[in-house]
Formats: sequence, structure tokens, C-alpha cells
Amino acid sequence: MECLEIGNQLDELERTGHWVREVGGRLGLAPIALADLDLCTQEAVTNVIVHGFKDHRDHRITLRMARVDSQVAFQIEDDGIPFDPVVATIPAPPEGLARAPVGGRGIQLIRNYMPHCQYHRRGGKNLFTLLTQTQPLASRP
Amino acid sequence: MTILEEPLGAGVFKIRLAGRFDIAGAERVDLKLTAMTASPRRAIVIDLSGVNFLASIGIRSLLTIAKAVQGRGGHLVLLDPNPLITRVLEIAGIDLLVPIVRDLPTAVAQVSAP
Repeated sequence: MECLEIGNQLDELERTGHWVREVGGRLGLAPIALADLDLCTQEAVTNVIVHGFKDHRDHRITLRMARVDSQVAFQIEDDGIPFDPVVATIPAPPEGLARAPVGGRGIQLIRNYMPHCQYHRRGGKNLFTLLTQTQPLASRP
Repeated sequence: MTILEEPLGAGVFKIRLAGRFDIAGAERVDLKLTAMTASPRRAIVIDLSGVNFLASIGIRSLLTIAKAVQGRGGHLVLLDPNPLITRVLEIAGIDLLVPIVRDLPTAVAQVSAP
């Protein structure tokens, strides 16, 4: 298992992205799977940094990645406010451009790309895990 | 993330974005993107062919300018995103709000319509 600790600042996203792509590649993710994980981890970590803390203090966020059989698991652990992205409400499709909200699509992207994501709350921490196949389903023997 | 403006004549402007449209990328281009799509411009082609990553913050930027252009009676289209970026736009439902076109002549025709 590989770990990275980051702070709850948005400029940590670049370091997060580099780490996910480097480790994901080493763990055997195919390019498309890696691109999908790159997107979802950026969305998930952004959500934690932007929405997870209300006390304006520094917090540590732990990222973990591991290969589990034909999957790669990515986990975010934070001590922010309880939030379950798996059951969070996704807005209904808007009726036209004028009525469309400009934001709020991060969780929609995560749940579409990573339908097997899991959330736990344990010991005052949020644990959000993304699971992706190393190879696209069509290309596996 | 880079941004490049190209006037195409007859009031049509093509704006080419390239690179990673994440938070850092959006910060780099937001001011210029806003300026390049500001009133009185009403015919905008956003060339996404060079974008290799699109996060929800990038979607937010695109929707913001699309709404502004439409609000003053203009047209904006997204030009030729690659398959990965197209998939992001489709999953986020953006293809139902902003036209995605595959070639420049079609893009120019759509944004030039009255």
C-alpha cells in the first residue's frame, strides 16, 4: 500500500494528481482507467478540501492506494465533517442552459465513473474508497 | 493550461483551450476566458481539442460563459473534445445544454445563426 499525506489547501491538488498518476501507473492501471481515477480523485479531494472543514484550521488528509487483485483501491481519510458521497443527492437534470447550475457536478462524475465507491465513518474520520479495474472490462481476457 | 483567441471574421471568435482544465488550469485562464467571451461578443467557438483533462471546475467555467453568451442572445459551441473529454461532458449532462460539434465549419455555422 502507498500513502500520501496532504494538507487541506487547494494547491495540494497538483501534488495529489502527480502521485495518483505515478502510483496508478505502477499498479498497472490501463491509460483510460488511470484517466478516470485521476478525474475522480481530483473531484473527491477537492470536495474534502473545499467543503469538509468549517474551522479554518490546517488539517491533514491521508490518501492511500493499493492493488487488490484486478482492481486498484484509492482511499481518502479525513477528519472533516461527516459526509457520505455515496448517498449524497445528485441534482436533477436542468431544464435548459439558463436554469442550469454551474457547479455541483463533482459527485455526479465520481458516482458515474466509480459506481463501486464506498464510504465509512470510523473514529471521527471519513473514509471514502474508490475502486477501479486495472483494465477496461472489454479488454480483459 | 493555455488559452488562445482567434477572430474568424463576421463577429465569430474561436478560443482554443489546451492542457489540464483543473482548478489550477481554471485559475490560469479564467480572467482571459471571461474577457474573450464578454459582451458584445455573441458568436463563440470554444475549441476543446487540446484539452486533456476536464474537472467539474472546468465545467463550471464553460457553463458560466455559455450562460452569459446565451443570456445576451448569442451562441456558444464546444468544438471537438477528445473521447475522454466528451465522455466527461456527457456524464455531466453538458452535451444537453451546450452543443458539441466536430468540425470548425459546422461550429461557425451554428454560432452565426440568427
